[in-house]
Amino acid sequence: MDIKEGLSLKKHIILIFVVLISLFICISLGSVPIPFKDTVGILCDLLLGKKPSGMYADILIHVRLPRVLSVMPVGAALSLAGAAMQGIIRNPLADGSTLGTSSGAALGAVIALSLGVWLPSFPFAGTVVFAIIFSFISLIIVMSLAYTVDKLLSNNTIILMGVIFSMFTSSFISLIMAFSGERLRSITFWTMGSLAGSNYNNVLLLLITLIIAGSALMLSARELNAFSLGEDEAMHIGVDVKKTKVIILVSVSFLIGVSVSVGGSIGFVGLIVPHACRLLFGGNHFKLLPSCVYVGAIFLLFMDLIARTLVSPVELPIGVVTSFIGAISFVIIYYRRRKHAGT
Amino acid sequence: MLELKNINIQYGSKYAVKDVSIKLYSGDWLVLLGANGAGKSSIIKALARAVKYSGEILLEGKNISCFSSRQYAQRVGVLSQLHEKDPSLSVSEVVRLGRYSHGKRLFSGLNKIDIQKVQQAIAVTGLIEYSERPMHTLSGGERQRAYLAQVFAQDTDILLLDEPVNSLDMKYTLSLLKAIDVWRKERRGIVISALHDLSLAACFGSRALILLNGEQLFEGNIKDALYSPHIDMAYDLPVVKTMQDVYSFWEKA
Repeated sequence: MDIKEGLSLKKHIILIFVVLISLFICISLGSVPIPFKDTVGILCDLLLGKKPSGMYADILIHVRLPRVLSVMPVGAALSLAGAAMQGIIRNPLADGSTLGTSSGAALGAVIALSLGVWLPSFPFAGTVVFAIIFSFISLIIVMSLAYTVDKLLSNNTIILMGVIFSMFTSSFISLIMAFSGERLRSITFWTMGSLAGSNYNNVLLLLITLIIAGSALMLSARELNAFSLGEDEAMHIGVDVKKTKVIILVSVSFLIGVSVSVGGSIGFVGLIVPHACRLLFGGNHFKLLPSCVYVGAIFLLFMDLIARTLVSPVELPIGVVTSFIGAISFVIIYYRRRKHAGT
Repeated sequence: MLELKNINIQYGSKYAVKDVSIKLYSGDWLVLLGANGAGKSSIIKALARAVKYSGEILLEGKNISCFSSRQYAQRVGVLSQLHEKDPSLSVSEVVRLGRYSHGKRLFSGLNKIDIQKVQQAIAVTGLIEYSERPMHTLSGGERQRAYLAQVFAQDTDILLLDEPVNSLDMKYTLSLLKAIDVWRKERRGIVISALHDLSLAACFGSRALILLNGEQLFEGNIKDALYSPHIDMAYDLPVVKTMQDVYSFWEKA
């Protein structure tokens, strides 16, 4: 009997290797392609502590690298959050975008911006904090609404509530935008997401959040497995259901809130990646959660690459690309689930 | 020992269970008898700490609300009806979750005792060849056996059965209940079950509690229960005569 719960060391190494290769490809390609040889040279210089110079080095260090390094933790965070939400409500269609959590977070960020909430020496703290709080409140609202209507939290109810809530918050965002005019960045940033112009402060914030909230989720992997049996069943085997829910919902709010405050609402990442990981590595959360971190980072790197290069020099919002693929995946997952339920 | 003292369960203003008291000892298999809505499931749920109740339930002389989630799960296991949704876990992963309450540390994996208990549970329930298969590839009866293995791995003294054989065919029903009976005899454990089928209740139970609209009509030996007038009242039917009519078909054949 196989008693090891997590991913094998071999799989970890392979996945890290794929992440690094993807990172390398994505910093080399773009509207100004940098030859691989130069990329290697600049990276070596950086690692050795030398200061590389030239146009390529400038693009790489000041534009590509901070962006790519933000994209990876955002992808990982959204995927982790999706996997955890799906685990706790036992529904593979749950995700920041389908449950309205991302748009809730975006509303929080927009409110913070329009009210001019900020902390000295840490200018984006206001938006971050508001985004986290609003994503938590949205989660609570949507889950309790859905639970009141339908205790089994079936597909239809929860998705319907999420969609309605999303529309509700989006209308608020539009309203605030209409009144605040030039003070806010373009509306597409919050509704479709973009990671253009990310800086190293963003990277640091994202990494810290990912490490803390990600660890909290990893430590709850066994509880998430128990939840997959059903909430009552989890209680029967000794899980403290309330405590687990609080830990998971707070961690998810942090992951989504911070990701949205940096990159806007990038839809469906938390839907596609956990689904793929479940097919590749199985539904055990000891395997699912770490694989989501790697695959989420890889997935969003390439989505960002497509957004940057597809109609270059014009840049697409990354949310357009993920939503395009996400909407198709949503239909496929829904169909498969219905078919499975019908047999 | 498990003792229920004056248990009342209310849903809104309606009483689902009214003033039920009973004492259970090692080796007892208590069957809760009564028509639909008589309060059988509510009693099981109260014992599983899944509904609010008034009165006292004492386990080892202590009120059950004093135990932490883990402590309680080390003592009381629950096997419910099969539900529609199934986890995307393998059989052995499901059985291993039964050891949850015995782990102490944050990253606690399984220790030697855990592994031994899990393997034993899988063997006893006849699931060795299925152990690495995903749950959704199994039939209803096999899945329910996996959940039984999980409860066995949980290694409790008390087992609550909430209609666990609904939706199972005769073969799986009997093999499941037989496995539970063997467990009860070997471990001197307490089983409390809500079963719809009176013949099964008669076969496996040792004691009975007859309920009518949440009220306790009779408590005692199972044989006495079946021949008491209370059973007819509870089901609003001449139970023994009806059963005899049904079985006379087989006798003639």
